[in-house]
Amino acid sequence: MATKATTRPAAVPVTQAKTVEREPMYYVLMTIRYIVLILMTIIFLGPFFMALLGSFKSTAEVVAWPPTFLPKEWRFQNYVDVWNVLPDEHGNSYFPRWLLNSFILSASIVVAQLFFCSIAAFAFARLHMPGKGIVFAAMLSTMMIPGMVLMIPKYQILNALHLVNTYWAIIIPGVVSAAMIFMLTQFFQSIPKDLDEAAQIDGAGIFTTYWRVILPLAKPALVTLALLTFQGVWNDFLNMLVLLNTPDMFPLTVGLAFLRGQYGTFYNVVLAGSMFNTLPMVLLFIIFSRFYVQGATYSGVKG
Amino acid sequence: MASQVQATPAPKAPGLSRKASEALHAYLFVSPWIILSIVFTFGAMLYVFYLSFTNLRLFNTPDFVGLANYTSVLQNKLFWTAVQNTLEYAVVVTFFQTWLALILAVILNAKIRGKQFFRIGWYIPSVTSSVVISLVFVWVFFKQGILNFALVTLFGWAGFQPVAWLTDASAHTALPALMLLNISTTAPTFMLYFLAALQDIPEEIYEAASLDGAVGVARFFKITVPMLRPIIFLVVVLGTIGTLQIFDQAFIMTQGGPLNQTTTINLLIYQAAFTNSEMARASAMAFILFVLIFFLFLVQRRFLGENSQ
Repeated sequence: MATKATTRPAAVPVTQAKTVEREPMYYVLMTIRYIVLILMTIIFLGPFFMALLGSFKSTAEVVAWPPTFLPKEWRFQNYVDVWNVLPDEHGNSYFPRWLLNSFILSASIVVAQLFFCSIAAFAFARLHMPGKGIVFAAMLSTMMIPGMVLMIPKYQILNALHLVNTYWAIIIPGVVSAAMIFMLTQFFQSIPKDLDEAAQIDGAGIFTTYWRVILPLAKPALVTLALLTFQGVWNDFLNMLVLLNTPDMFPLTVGLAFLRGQYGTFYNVVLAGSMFNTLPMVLLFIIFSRFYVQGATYSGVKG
Repeated sequence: MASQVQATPAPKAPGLSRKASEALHAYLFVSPWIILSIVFTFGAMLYVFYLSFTNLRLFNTPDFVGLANYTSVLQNKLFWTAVQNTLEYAVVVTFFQTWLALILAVILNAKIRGKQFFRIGWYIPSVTSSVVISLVFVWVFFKQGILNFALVTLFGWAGFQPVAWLTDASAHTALPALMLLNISTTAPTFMLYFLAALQDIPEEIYEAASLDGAVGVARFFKITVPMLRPIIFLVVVLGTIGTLQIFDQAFIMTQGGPLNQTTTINLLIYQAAFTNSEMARASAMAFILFVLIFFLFLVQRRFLGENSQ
């Protein structure tokens, strides 16, 4: 080792990187690291990037062998085509309806969960509650139950209430989420207790403490909840497939699967449709990425 | 006194102690979850269990038929094919995605330029819906798709020929294709868990170990893996629960084909319940799936959990 002022072993990375000469081995290892990282980026993102380019190709070009990289001619028309691809009996296209359904369902559930999950988490994190441990454990245990197992009774119950194929079939069971209550409980526990005590000395009641003291402090966690829940509902498939049955009620995910059945060979149009589902989520993620990472690490539960 | 018990913002009922008032508020606040989970989770589980002993198809009045659904399911060859496919899928995907996620996290945990780019970029598949992932990969995996193009370019000299990954029954590639797809789209999510946990390992432990001569691969197995044991457990459990429930990809990409090579337990449950109107039979399969998941969870807790050593 050709450095002067250090007695550290070579394997430990030295902090003043620029002033220290390194062994050749270091550069070899670093090069290998970058090769692996770039290779993995191609594997992870390549398919999606190619699909994005494919959504601008013609029907013939998107299946051509050998595949082209950039479209020979950028066909923005594909996006217009998928928008109008499936008209109902009045000649109105279904596709914008699907987008709207997805948006209405996602937004309603976000609003409901912001309130119902946060107030439940407030109780778990801050209030004296006999039997809290049991209730909380019961809540965590529900996260292990497979969704498909619950689909059969869910369908039967909602059908008995005449709610199948309405927005309510998705919204009512969706207004609380064990994972989100758990995440918010973790977050609320990190807020100092003195704050609610001070509020109570000032005469604030329990609801006021929740509403005026704790909620304003929980904004980052609430943003995380809003993003993860919106994305979860927007991307949900199984619930929607079972509980929404007619094309006018489909959300975009079910609509896209339906399109694949009808127009599966028009890969370019199907890919363009897919982008309507993906790009808003990618955009939200790029803008708010720190909240997603926070959510994943806070709860230890897949968002 | 009961009349004073209500959700007023500031309960000042003279007879009601502060503790009792708090407890009432707490239960009121949690009640939406309690009610919905009694109906749609706990009640629903009991209802599935009950249904599995009846002959309910869709709207008939259910009669008790004992174990008939279970014997019929367990004697069905297709069900066992589905169990085998699902288990194979779960084992392979969970194993590779956990190791891949862990190794990538270690690589990314070093002081390297562009760390943020990889962290954010790799997460993009995780914000993409399973439907879109399926639609994109149908196109990636078909005979003139980009996967075949990449493989022909790399291995054409060794005689690699394009394969119709999802539809060629004799090549037996459909299930491995679904595995590959799931590994590459979920490993980056789990990598984030590992990355967060790696940052909590004190640097001194590594320094001490390197004085003892533990470097490189030895360091990885002797320090990193044991230190991350709780997170590895979490990732394996979440991975197993998720993969045993594979449905969306199989439903959209292959419908269980070719020749039932990608038929999964969830796909059979869905078809029984919502295509063939055999609710009771579907309930029996659903309950078997639940028991399978719970059993595997206990096994994993035994061998990977906190108290296992």
